[in-house]
Amino acid sequence: MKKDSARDAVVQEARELLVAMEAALLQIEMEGPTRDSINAIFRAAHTIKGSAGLFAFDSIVQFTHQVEHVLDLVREERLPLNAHLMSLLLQCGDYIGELVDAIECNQEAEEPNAERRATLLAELAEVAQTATAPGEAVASEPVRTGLRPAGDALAEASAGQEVDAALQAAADYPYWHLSLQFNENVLRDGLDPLSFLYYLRSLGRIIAVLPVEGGLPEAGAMDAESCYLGVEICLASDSTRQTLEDVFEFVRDDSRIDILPPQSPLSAYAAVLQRLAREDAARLAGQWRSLALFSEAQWRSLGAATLEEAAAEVVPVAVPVTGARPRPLDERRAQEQKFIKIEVSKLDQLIDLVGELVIAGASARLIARRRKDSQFEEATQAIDGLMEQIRDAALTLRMVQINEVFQRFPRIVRDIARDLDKDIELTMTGSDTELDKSMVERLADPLMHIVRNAIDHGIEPAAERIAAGKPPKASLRLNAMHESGSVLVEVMDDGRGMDRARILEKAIAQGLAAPEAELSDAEIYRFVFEPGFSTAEQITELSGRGVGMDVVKRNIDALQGEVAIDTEPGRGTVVRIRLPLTLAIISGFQVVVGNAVFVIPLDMVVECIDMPPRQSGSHIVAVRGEPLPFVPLRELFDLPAREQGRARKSLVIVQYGQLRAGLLVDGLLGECQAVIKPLGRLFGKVKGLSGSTILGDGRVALILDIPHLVQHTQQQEQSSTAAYAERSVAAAP
Amino acid sequence: MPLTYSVQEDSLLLTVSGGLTIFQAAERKPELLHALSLPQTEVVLDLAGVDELDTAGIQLLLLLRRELVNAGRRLEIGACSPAVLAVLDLLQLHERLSPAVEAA
Repeated sequence: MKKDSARDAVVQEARELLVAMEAALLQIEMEGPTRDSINAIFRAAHTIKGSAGLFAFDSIVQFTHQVEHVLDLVREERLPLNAHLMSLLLQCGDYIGELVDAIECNQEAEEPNAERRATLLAELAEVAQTATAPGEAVASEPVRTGLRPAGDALAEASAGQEVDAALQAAADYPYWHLSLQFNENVLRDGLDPLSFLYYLRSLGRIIAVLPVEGGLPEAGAMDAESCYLGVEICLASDSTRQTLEDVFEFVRDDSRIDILPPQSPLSAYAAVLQRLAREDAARLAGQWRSLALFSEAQWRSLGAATLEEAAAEVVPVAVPVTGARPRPLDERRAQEQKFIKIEVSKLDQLIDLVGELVIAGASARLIARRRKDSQFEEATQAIDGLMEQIRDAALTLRMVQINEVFQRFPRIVRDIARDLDKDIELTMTGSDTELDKSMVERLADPLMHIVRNAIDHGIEPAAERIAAGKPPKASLRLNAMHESGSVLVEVMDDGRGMDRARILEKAIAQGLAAPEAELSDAEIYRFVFEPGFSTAEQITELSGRGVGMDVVKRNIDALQGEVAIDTEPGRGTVVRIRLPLTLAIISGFQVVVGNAVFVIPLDMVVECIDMPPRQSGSHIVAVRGEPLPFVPLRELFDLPAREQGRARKSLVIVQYGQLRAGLLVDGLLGECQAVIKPLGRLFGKVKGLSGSTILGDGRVALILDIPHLVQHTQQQEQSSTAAYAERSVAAAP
Repeated sequence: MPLTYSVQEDSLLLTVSGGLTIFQAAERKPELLHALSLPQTEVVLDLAGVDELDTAGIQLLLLLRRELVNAGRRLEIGACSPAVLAVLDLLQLHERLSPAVEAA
């Protein structure tokens, strides 16, 4: 169990790092290499290797090591980061991803694709061969002492070159470092240095202590009552420097008390090491390494590597052999203070419970109202308010940024564009738009299809673009935003657009449309989403086989969403996906039709008005001088009239996207919290309903599918003129 | 008797009891270092009877260890009292003074 959760952590971390690595590579491709981006790639590879090593996933470690080696050469400017190497690195990233997948499925013992691995390794080795010799890139060999293991010689040379500059820079060391060497008489004075340590424990957490014994004289010369020991302390504490200094107030005379605040310049730590006797310094270096207080490069700049190697010869037991292993855990611990990772199932459970609470709350409120007990009512109102907050808070927990999906696209677009030899600039906006986690996951596939289609069919080859007077570099834009209670995701390209006539022709040929039918543009473009519909002249590897867009539509429908196409021949295409914010709980507005209660998502309600006078038979009313189509719900659902003589009816005006419509209802009941329960299979196909909910009194209310109803009015509007004509013809004789 | 020597097979067992602090340090030092003149390679310290340990005591133990290691011999703490354990914990000296205990 424990091992498994650790495994998950490694897998997740590696995935995040791979994403970062890919993003950095693509950034380099767009903007040219920068020191930061190259370092970012190197760090990602290095950390993946480190945490894989922690769990002895040797396959990843060995592979990543080779990648790291090549990256190191790049970092030293001994290898040019050309297109070939970029592609190779991206492929290596993919392969590391496969290895990570294998770990996730507990199959790390098997190589996912030994052949591919061998090819990639061979290519890496080949690239590494072409590196220039260290001397050519490094102007002067840095002054370094000590042994260097052959394998790491290259890496060290790079670190060495940065030594001088690096020493001035702030170290990673996130804790206080206290370096103490006491006055010889401290013991005779009745003070025990141990008491300082005990006291420091009350000021913070002692991460590590290292007694320094280099001051101990020869056995014969040693006075048992003098203090020769020093102590190096790594302390995690929020105290101020003053507080820490005060600890040593009584021993300050003749004692050396060095207090280094967190992230002091590297040179300060180097000074600490230099002051110590060789053996102590080696121990301290080993301790720093095992605690991963410095980055590998910093640690090398300190000269700690040589010290530790030397120590390995002198005192084999003093140096922990585990190397940098605790590092990822340590880093993670620091992050945990800001974020905690929770299983999604736990969140779902919480939201289910909140849902039940909302239902139970509604029934309590109903009882309070019936009892006409004002105190009880007041209490339930207070609870209602809190419940609403809990609901919102619980739902935001599930919200994630759409960036989770968007971030895959730079790579995908790059690869497809390269395959098809098109030059495309991808821009992404609104990637911080939040929506429900389950939706983000299920949005990925449809979006991918749309983007592929746009690149494959929409965007023309460069030559054709130039001929059409467009810039050769095509633009593809992904955009996400919130709009009246839903999330709008747009994929825009500036390609050739869709050919209205061809689509119509094809639709008629396939029997989807009657040849004489007058269809609006939107209706014609909707045919694209029909199964088996494709107008592509040539089938490419990517799309054009007529599968895809219908799957897109099905997927989006399953999310209670909607997809529409807007296109202009020669100018480009926009595919708009509109999704509800959440699938779990909504604020609803209850209305009565006949004896049935319906719930309308409150976000979509614009206003409620008394039904204005209208022409009988027409489904359009004038609201403040504007025509508004409306749906008489009673007729739509074929409900019996509630009571006779009640003439006053209300119109609820709803908005979906840019469209508005009215819903004609018998009465308004007000706001409620609606926990959305799916409709049974029996009702799944009923148009105009999107779900059900349980009311406070236990009755079931149906949730209206506003997007569908609004569209319904649009279709009616178009056909109503025709219907009118027919009716007048029928009535004429 | 605060410090006794006994030979077990090929190792030397030093049993210390009472305090091991600045007050006893001058007295203990020659007694402890006497071990250096004995032939056994392995020296085991039994500190179970030590009820107090301070920096002076630690210093003596470190000195003894250093001298033994320099002579190619080994020091190991075989047993310790809670008081000793607390100090070893505080100074994170287990590994240095007693690698075998750490490994066990």
